[in-house]
Amino acid sequence: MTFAERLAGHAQRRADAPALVTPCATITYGALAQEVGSLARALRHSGVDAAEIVGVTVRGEVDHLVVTLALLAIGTPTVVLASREPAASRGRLAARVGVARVLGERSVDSIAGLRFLALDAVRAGMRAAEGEPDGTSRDPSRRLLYLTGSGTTGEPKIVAYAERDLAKHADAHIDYSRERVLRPAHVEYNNSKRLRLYTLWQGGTCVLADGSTDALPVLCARHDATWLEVSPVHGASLLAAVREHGPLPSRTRVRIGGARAPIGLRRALLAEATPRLHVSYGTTETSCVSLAGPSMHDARESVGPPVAGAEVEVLRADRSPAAPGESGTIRLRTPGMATGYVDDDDATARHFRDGWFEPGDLATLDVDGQLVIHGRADDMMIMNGINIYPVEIERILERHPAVESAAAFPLASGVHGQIPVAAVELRAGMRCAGGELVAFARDLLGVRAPRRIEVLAALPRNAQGKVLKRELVAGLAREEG
Amino acid sequence: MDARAVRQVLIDGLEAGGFAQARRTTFREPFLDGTLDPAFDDLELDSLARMEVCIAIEVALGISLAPEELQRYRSLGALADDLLVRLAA
Repeated sequence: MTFAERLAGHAQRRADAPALVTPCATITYGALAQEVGSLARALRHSGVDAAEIVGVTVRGEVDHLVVTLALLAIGTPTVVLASREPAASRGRLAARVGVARVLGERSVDSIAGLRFLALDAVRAGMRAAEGEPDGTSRDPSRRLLYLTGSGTTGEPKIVAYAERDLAKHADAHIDYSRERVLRPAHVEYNNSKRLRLYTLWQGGTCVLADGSTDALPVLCARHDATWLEVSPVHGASLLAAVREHGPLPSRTRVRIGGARAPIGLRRALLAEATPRLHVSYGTTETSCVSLAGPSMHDARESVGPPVAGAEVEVLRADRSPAAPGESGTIRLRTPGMATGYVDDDDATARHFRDGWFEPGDLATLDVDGQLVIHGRADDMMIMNGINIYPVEIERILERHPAVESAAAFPLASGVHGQIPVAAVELRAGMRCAGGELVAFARDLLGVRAPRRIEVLAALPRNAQGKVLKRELVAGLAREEG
Repeated sequence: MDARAVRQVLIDGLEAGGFAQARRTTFREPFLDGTLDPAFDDLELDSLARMEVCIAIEVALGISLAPEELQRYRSLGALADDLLVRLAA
């Protein structure tokens, strides 16, 4: 089944059910299906067809989703060329994917050497395109949605999914079919876009902040959001907001995903925002893998047991299965998962093996079935033969009352291999010297403690809130140089 | 970086390596102001303490030294003096 068919089904059965809710409008499934159909015909009328790949630079949340669904409806592969990215970066991504045409809102969205189609011009042709056929049924196994990873480990990796794959992800996800889901991150981000599509596939309601500056508790209350989905960085903002505006409505559940959710943040959210806190683990290549429910938050920072349909194995260095509680590299298998990367055979060979995806994360599957992620295997430091995991250092430093968040990384040494060092961001109004934190960590970690700790105004992060350790390493190298 | 700061780096390394005397003011202060210069042999440092001294030097001063190279120095003060010279070079 295609997205267009699924949408038509929702529109037929529940035409008046809300599909998209913005601060100023509600769009029902009936209206959405009609809008998507009209735009799909207008796109085809403008010369867009299934033979080309279209880069999309559309900022408005509703417009972006309607454009995406319309392109899916005519079988045209798409990739987001995010408006926040500079033109050179958008151009590189377009070249890697093989984009032939950019569909944008403004002339600055165009990319040299590629055809440009203005969304307004397409809309202007909607009337002329009325009455044209809706198109023929297609192969739902054709890859139509190109998604980029976060790029925290280098140039972003790209995966491409068919509608059939997205449908499997959506079917395996939390059941949102009767839920109102608010995800404040913009639709141009990979995970936000996918979650919105999953919600629409299931027939739920996407609550879109769409540029609203209202605090999250206010937005949740106003739009009766039953799920709020945030990254850990948004989680910290949420905490600040509930301190000012009060807790979330009792109906609102929270899911944190996309990066490590420290136990300090979890406990603070449980105490002050909502007792209905969930933490998930997933990857761009697999979608959601595991989910920790409200009773599963302890010092291990578990990401919960694998969700139905997800297979998780932890391997020793010799690739034999690790025992429960034993640390090793993780491999994953989920319905509709990616089978490789676009334009990167080396990375495909490294990460996709024997039908499994190997993200390069270190983990344990504990005896109670809970998955605990210890960070990336290639982040592991080896100092004089001692294995040191950054996340172990980070968890200890974040126990210090002055530390908001920490990032551990190696200082390359010709003698010792890699010397662990760290950078921290302090809680508002707190003061603490690096030397005091070094002593604190040494008492708890011994030889695996960081030998130097920089106190920074803010840790460098990408838009999803992941700490950019490469920048920390580069900063230290510049200082050393 | 002055002589006292370089000596402080060595004290930090000794402390990290579990060398208890480094915490005592009767050792620490005279060494920092240059009036105490204990011989390496008298300190009886174990391998962990030697490693931590070298790590402290590398992290704070950017000078790489292998633990076995410490044997080249007669005393802790001689090591501090050589580090000062290398920093100035």
